[in-house]
Amino acid sequence: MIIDTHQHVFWHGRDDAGLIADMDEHGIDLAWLLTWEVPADEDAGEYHRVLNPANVRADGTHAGITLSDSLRARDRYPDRFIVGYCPNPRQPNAPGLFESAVKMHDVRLCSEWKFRIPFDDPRSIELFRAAGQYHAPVVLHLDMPWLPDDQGKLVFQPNWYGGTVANLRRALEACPDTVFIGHAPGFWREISGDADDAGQNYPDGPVTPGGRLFELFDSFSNLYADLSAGSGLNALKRDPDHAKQFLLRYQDRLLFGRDYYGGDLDSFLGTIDLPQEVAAKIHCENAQKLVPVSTNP
Amino acid sequence: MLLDDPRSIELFRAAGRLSCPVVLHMDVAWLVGDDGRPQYQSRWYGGSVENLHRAMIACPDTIFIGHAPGFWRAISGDAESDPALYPSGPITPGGRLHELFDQHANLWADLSAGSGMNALKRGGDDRAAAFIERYADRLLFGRDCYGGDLIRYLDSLPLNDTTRQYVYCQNARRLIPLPVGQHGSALQ
Repeated sequence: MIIDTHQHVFWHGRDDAGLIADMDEHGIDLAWLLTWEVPADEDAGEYHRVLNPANVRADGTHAGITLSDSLRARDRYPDRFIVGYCPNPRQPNAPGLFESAVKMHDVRLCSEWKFRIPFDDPRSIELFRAAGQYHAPVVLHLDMPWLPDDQGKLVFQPNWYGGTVANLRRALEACPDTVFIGHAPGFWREISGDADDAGQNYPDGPVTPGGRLFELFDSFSNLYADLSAGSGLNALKRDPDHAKQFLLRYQDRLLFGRDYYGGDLDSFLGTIDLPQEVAAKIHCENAQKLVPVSTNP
Repeated sequence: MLLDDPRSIELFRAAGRLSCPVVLHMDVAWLVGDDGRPQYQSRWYGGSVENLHRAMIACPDTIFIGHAPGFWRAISGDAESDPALYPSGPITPGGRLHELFDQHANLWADLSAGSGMNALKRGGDDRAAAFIERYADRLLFGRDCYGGDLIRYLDSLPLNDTTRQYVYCQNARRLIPLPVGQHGSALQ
């Protein structure tokens, strides 16, 4: 069985049937459909063309990947989709909104958290604690607020999300009952000890010792990670030997996910000689533990 | 937003480059409730003194002027367990403010509003005077309202004349120099 723990619907040119066709093509049984609620003041113009045009607001900004879209897909394919929802923490009573979604719509995840505030902002902490009360994992998108230029000077990155792993650490400490799933360039660059020197969003080159991810995984049992998107795959591909050791070491906390269509991640995992039981954990068993789903018809 | 939010940091750095002090209003995000557990305070500003600490590290060339209840509660070591917005009990040892003042030369404070005067008054006159004398070159007179409450209170404390001059005007003039004589006798 394969569970895609990081997916969205009605994007990149396909509707829900198109996603199902892609899942069938790649042997994926179940997908977690995550929202990306985009506040108007965080409008991501570069994404408009790949998102659902029906979600463009009257003011020209785009609402992102909405709960309505995910629910519509699950209504049509109830055995293939799990729905996640993460409200904008800056909204009044975001925890209350999330709680309503759990009770009203059987939302199982508080995801995808992708907002331009630090993870440990008090409004986020309150939302994360609510998620923990409902055993709803939080998929976190990190993109660095500063990156070094060629001279090593830190340059502000206006399209940052969440902050740094220091903000993540404080959120992990503040919310011990909440499961966090790391994702995106700002998270995966920390697999390597030279993360602070890398000016690219997708650092290449061999992984050097001292990556902060290791200390975080070892210190916080509530930290997981999905291997989705270019950042997850890049973290593995940049050093395939290291990738195997990493996957073995954290086999209980890593999750298969794509954040797009296609079979790139599975193709790469197929080149690594993982024991069958490890592959099974990554492909579905870890996900099943976090979000149990009855597999009976 | 948090004081160490990246957008704040960028703004603080710009302020530092332009030699503009930043007066910070802080109100904590959680206060201990009746059940002894932290209760979320929706009208928080800036975060805690830990967020301030990180902002000061990130912006060493920026002058920060602390203000408001979330700042002044840290004068006492029991800041995290005191349920009151304006703590009134005696000051206990270990207040983070002292460590922050000692560690960060770019931390100042104004004595304005109820929170500033409350922090001084809760320790008694001698303790208030000792605090002001210790940080004499970084404390600023300010009111954040009308009236003469703070002036009357400061004038009642056993302070050196030099300290009074620092607090009432010399520190402010060091931060924001004014041309001599521009405003006449009020600044002489």
